[in-house]
Amino acid sequence: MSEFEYITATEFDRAWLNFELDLPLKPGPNGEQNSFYVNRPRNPIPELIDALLAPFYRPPKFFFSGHRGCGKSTELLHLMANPGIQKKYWPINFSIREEADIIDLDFRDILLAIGSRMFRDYRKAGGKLPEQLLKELNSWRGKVEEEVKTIHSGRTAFEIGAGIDAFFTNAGLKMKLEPATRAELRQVFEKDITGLITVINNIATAIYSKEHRIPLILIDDLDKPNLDEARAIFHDRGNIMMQPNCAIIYTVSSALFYTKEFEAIRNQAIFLPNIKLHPHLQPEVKDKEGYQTLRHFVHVRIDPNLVDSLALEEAILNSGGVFREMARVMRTAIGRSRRRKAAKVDINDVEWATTEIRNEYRRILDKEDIEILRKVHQQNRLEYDERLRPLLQLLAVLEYRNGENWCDVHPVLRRLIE
Amino acid sequence: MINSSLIATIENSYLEPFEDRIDILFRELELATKWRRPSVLMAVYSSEYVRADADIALESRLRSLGQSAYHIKIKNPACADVSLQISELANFDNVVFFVEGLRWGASHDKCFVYDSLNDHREFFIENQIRVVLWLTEKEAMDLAHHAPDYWAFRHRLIEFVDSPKPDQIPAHVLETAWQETGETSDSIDDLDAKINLRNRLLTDLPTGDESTTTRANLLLTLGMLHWRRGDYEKATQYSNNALDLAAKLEDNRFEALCFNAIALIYSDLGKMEEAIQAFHNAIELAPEQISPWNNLGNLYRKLKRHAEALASFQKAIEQNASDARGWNGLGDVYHETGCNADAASAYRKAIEFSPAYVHSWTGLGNAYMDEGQLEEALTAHQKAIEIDRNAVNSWLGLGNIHRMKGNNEHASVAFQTALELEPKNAEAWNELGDLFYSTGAYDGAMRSYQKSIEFNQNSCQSYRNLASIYIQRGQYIEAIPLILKAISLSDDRKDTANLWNQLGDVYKQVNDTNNASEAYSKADALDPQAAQHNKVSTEIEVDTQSSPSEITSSQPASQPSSDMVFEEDHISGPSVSISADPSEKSLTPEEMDTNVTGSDEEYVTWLDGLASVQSALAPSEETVLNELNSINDGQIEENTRGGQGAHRSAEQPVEIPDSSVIIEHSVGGVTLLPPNPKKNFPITDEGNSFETFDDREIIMDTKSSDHANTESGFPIAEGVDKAPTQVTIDEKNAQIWNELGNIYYNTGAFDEAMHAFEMAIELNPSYGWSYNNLASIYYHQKRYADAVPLYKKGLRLLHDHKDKALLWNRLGDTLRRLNEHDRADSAYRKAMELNPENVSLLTRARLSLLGNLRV
Repeated sequence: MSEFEYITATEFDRAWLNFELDLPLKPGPNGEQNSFYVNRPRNPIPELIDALLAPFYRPPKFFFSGHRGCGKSTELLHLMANPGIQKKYWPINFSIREEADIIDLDFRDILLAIGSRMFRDYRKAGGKLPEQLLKELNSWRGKVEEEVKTIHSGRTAFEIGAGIDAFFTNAGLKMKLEPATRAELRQVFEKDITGLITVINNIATAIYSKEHRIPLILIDDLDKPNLDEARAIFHDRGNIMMQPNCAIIYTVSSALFYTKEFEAIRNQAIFLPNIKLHPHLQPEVKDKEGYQTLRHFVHVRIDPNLVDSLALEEAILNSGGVFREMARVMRTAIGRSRRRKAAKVDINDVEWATTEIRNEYRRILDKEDIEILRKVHQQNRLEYDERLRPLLQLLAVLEYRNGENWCDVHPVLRRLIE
Repeated sequence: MINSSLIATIENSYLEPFEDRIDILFRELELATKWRRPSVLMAVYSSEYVRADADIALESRLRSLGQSAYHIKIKNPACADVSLQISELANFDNVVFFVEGLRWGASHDKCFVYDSLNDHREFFIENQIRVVLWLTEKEAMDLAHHAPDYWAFRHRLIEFVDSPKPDQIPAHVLETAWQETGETSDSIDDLDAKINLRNRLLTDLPTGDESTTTRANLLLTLGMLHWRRGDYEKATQYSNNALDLAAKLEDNRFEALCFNAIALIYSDLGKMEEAIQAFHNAIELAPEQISPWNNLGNLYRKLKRHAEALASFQKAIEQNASDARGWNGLGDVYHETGCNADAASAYRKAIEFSPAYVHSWTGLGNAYMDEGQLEEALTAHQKAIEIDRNAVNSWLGLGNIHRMKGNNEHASVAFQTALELEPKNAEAWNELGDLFYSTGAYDGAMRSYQKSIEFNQNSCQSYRNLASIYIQRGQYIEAIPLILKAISLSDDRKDTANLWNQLGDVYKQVNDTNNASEAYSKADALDPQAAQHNKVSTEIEVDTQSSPSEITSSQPASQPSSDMVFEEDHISGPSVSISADPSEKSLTPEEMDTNVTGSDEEYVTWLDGLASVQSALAPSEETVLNELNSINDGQIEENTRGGQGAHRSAEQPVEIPDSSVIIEHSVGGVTLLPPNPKKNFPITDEGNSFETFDDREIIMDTKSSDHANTESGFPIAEGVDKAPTQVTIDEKNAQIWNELGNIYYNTGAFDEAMHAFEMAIELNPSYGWSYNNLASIYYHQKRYADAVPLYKKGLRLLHDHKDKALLWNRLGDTLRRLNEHDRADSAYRKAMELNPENVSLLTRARLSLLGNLRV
């Protein structure tokens, strides 16, 4: 498939495709909303947009987090396409995986990526940077390469790029693919991190000056590195990460979000919660808005005539309000309907799907986990501690927002803890 | 304790039959293939046997989609990066990856494989990878906990935690001894009778604490009886009940026995970690008991954890120095790790304490064989068979020894016997295939390898051998998936490198230079030292289309090195046949035999297949029955000790020194090269391993011109139409012509062979074997009527009873083809009369068949 077609399915094969678990929902060519995009109740993105659009002295920095499968990447894409954002900011969206090795990620890698992408994307879009700036950047490049040569004790000539364009193109690649070069460059930047920040700021200033729009850097997949690396970047080097003179949205993992160290910066954090399907401590009461959202999620992907309404309600209940889990239940149920050559997905198909998902959890949860889940279901109290964190990561426990934050077990697990 | 309640819970919730679960996985992959989207599937299993069946079933269905399964087996933390292994493939379009063995990709403190999966999870999605992870229950748990992001990426997880059915478990799995009740080979009826008795006893037992001990013993015995019967559910139930009582009795010894029993059940169910734990429990409770140590050692050995296996057996011996099983176990481990001298010592120890222990005799035979001590090996295997005729492994050992000695008829009989005893023995089929192959009976070889694969889909050797045949026949496309399968199963670096090289050659043949280059690179990466050699050898052009007689003076030596590569990769004993002219169809009788009737058709075909084994090398084997043994032994002696080769008496029948000689056609002449140095005959300083006068002369003849060397009267074959000028009786030259004919015969150059034998007869009309040899060619060419008088002539000239018996047998075969059954019957009987000790299974079978036909 060369280009994904976001069309409502009228048969099961297509429906299976539409419920792919991590389907990226790119905005249309003119920034219009993707046809599969579903806005969620109390979506915090408008808050974020408001915060970005609000006046400021210093370009804002935000941390963006959310559960697995809740739609973070999709929301970032839609944020970028927002007209207000487009007017005020010069947005640059990239995944850190394109610029660095996420298995071995360092704050210096991220900073270099910010500078590099700002420079390259702007030039690629036809932007012109002042000659003097280019001269200064080249001078800086030369210094960096000299420093690296010093590390080599002058044994070899070292050049990353013939000019600053090539430097920014190749540096990221080398950082990503060549551990030795990565170590050398990090060493150089460590000595002069201010220099690197200055480079970023100079480029950002030049763009702002030319375009009258502030660069807004959206970095996706920063939630992928492990917890220790994430702590080292955003907690230990948090101050440095706040220094670039451009707006930045860093994605962070929900695991980091739940750590104690993150408490200090949680006010700069936006958490994308799951869709609430019932009020706090009232699992038997349906949240109409939540159900409507997920109904809509399903109906843009599959013709309503292909899904029995009771089956759909059951599927929504068992999704826990997580888009990805909704997709999982639907896809599994569709698979079963297809195999039995049925005309539509019925309640048995959904029950079968939820049983399968429940058994998957049964396999990986031990007695202690079951005890914790029982307590969570009774109390709905969210505590960011070491016991709950793994269960949150596994989506055995789901977080919701209702003024305050609370949580409950994944609905498929209710039968397991009874 | 086996958590059967948990298993039951999971199983009960899963009512889908096995085939339906396969279908679920298949449908996911079908849709992913259709839409070219990724698919991350997980299959959790508890029994290796069920997993293997699921693997095969799914792979088979994938073929209907034009997809093939590419197996990735994690063997150690060094190869734990699954995405890296996947990325090394050039093309994922038609491939579904089957990944297993994740537990081996982690050490006790580092979860390399899980970290790698977690960190590279997007790789699977971005590259639209379709993957099935085959996970044990523990691996599933570890994956979720150590790679939660990858876990979240799963699309489906399907469980295959059922217990295997009895017929899924090979009979030989029940190999670990239950020492308390003895190792028996009860029939099902016997077992049922024993079970019934004990059930009655159990029912009749009085209630109360006083009967606890008796009850516990009965329960444990019932557990083991059901285990022997293959009824694992009941075995588990009874054993657990016994264990419960053991705890009540506070009897450590008995409790240890219960754990031992439970471990055996786990082991058969493929739940290895649980089995190990249960053995350890038994050992902890009663460390003085020997059987848990031995059983644990066996299990470790099965899992290729040799160091732990050695330690366990040594522990057993520490408890009791005269424990034959412990010594035997040590022997097995040493043998598996190539320490044959130590293995032999250990086996001898076992035999010292238990002279009738068949397994040790077999092991001793194999250890001797691997050390090249064939006579000692022969004796040991014969002893094993003497004690127990059903010792299949010793029959296989005998077969191998006979084949190494060039005695293909005996080898064939031995392999056949092994197959009679165990028709599903994959190894035996593979050995038989090798035997067929070595005699040029490629159809028979192919069938045998296919059988081997049918009974063991994890035999790298069989896939490789089958591929060799397709390559021989120029069917390169068919060979490709077989080589790929062999690669996926190979666990030896060098072998894998060779396979990649072979694959490269095959791709070259079909003009797929990209894949060829890819394959060569992989080979080079695995074995850089061989890279240079292969580079040179693969530069030699392959000329597989022309038969030897078609080669003109303008063409260079054309025995292609790529054929040599193919040859080397064929795994067999030393007597490997050289590549036949691919344009020459196999002339094995089974292809040509049209004289079959009714339901005996298949059997006749099978028999004829055996006939090809015997008759294809008949001249070499039969003309030098005695000489061959001594000379070959001498050569083996030479090669193992670096001594001088034996000289052949000119009066003895001419032998074919070794059928692994490679004939290279040079300009107008014939050159004999030394055998493949990788086999049992390393090249001596002079560049060849033959020290005999005749061989040396032939070899020295390489540079001569087109005319005969008239000084020595030494003939040079110049093609079918040319003949040497000498016509007077020249015994020595007749032998040489005969020998040359044998060599041509083995290469499939039958026209040249015929000419050579005719020359031999012309030079010495009283040399009986030449008539036999020529008759064999007529036989292969279906000129049965022409073969008969030649056999008769040979019979008149030969004097030795055994030799005559052989020819009578051959004559019987020929007459049978001519529908002269009565005369064939007489011929066979004559053979039996002359050599009653050596009546082969084949002969008996033929007589039986003729008996049927007579009705």
